Amino acid sequence: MSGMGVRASRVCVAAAAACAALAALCSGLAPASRASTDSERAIAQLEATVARLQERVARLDDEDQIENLISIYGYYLDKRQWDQLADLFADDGSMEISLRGIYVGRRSIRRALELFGPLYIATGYLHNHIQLQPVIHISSDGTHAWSRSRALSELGTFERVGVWGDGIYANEYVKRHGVWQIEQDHVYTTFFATYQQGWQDAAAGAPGESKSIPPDHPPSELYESYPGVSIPPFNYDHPVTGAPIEIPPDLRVRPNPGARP
Amino acid sequence: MAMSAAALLLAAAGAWVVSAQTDRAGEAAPGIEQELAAARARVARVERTVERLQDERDIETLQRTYGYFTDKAMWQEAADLFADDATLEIGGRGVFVGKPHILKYLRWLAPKGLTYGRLLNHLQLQPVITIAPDGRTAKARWRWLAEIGDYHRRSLWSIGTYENEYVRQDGVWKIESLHAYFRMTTPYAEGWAKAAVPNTHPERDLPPDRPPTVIYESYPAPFIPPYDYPNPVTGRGPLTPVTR
Repeated sequence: MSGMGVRASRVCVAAAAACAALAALCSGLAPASRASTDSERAIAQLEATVARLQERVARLDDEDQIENLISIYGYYLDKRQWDQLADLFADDGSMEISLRGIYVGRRSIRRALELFGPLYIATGYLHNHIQLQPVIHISSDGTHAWSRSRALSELGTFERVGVWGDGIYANEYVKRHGVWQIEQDHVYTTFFATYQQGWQDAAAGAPGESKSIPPDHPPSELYESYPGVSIPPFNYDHPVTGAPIEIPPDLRVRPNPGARP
Repeated sequence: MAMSAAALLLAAAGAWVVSAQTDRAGEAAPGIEQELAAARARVARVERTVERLQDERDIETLQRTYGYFTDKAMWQEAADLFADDATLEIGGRGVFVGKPHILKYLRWLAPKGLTYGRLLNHLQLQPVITIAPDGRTAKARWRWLAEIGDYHRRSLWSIGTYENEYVRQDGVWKIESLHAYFRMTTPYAEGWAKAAVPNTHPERDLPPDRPPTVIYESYPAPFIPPYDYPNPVTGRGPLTPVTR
């Protein structure tokens, strides 16, 4: 899928050229002749088809760009490139990781990223979050997007500890001045576990709020990570039935009574 | 590659239409009908390419959502991703035909749903999707990486290959056939150097509609699930190699 963004924009440009050419032809025809009216109608139809195609290609391009944004987020996160990572957020963007609470705005997000380690990955540290399985939906006007994706994490400190993790992202994005940015970065922790014992015996809960870098708002929802079970809400409808995806009541994440309204 | 071709076709359509205008000033050129027909044909070809790209995206959404539902034992939702007459064959348990039997199979895996201490993560990865020329069916090869667990009782890695088929009905893509080949299952603590769980067999309390389509052993035995696509460079295949 990489490179499709460039190709898709080339199609958009070519489609625009085709539209312009069709418009030029339309204006050059003698209005009196019946044949030219039929031709004008045919050209108008073709123009409409090309315009529709332009829209569809634009949405495909948007999906491709969101997929790239998710991957780019992952690569910065791996290497603790906090400045680059914070820059992926919209001005009013928010970050909610596990049960650490919500950080709002790029400055607050940048400060909070230090919770995951100092700037730049240092000797002896592993901080991988492999970004996988994206399901992306774009609004029809191409200004908003939603994704469900996951991270398979390998974390650790050499000669000290190795940790596996799985998390589900339920994210939102906004396009400002033609550029996609993260509106909401929301990770639900499925599990953390040490490499030594694995999830069978050494499952750790989702980390909570920090006292040293407290969040701007408490967590929006509460839930237990493995061995507890819960289902992060789906931000899209069932792909076949079209119905909203309902979560069984005993597996829902619980709204946090202390959360912001 | 398809997108560059689409760009060229659209540019060519535009160029052809412009050149038609200069044939005779002041009245419609007699060749305009042919020019229009040619432009229409080119745009139709671009439309088919765009359809195919959208179809690939829709199938990715479909299969990845199957994974997210399976993670959480949302069996009804998972079964609803299948066509009414679909089939499901996972490991060596045989073939289950039709949505009701597919739901029965899935429920058998975790009858009480996702209970405390259960981990059923099935990461859906690495798709190669081929849409049929008529845009009505598709095939895809995927792989999964699964983290299976029962707290304080067992934990397993599982990996395997899907060779799936999809069908488009009333504009909606559905799973027509899900065929999951178990490659390797191993208990977490020992790992695949020391321990491997054999392939499954038809279960007495879960009789399939049809016997397994192919008998094979999982790792450490070698087995190459047949490919639904040829070599993309040479065009040779699809290949069903003989397993030694």
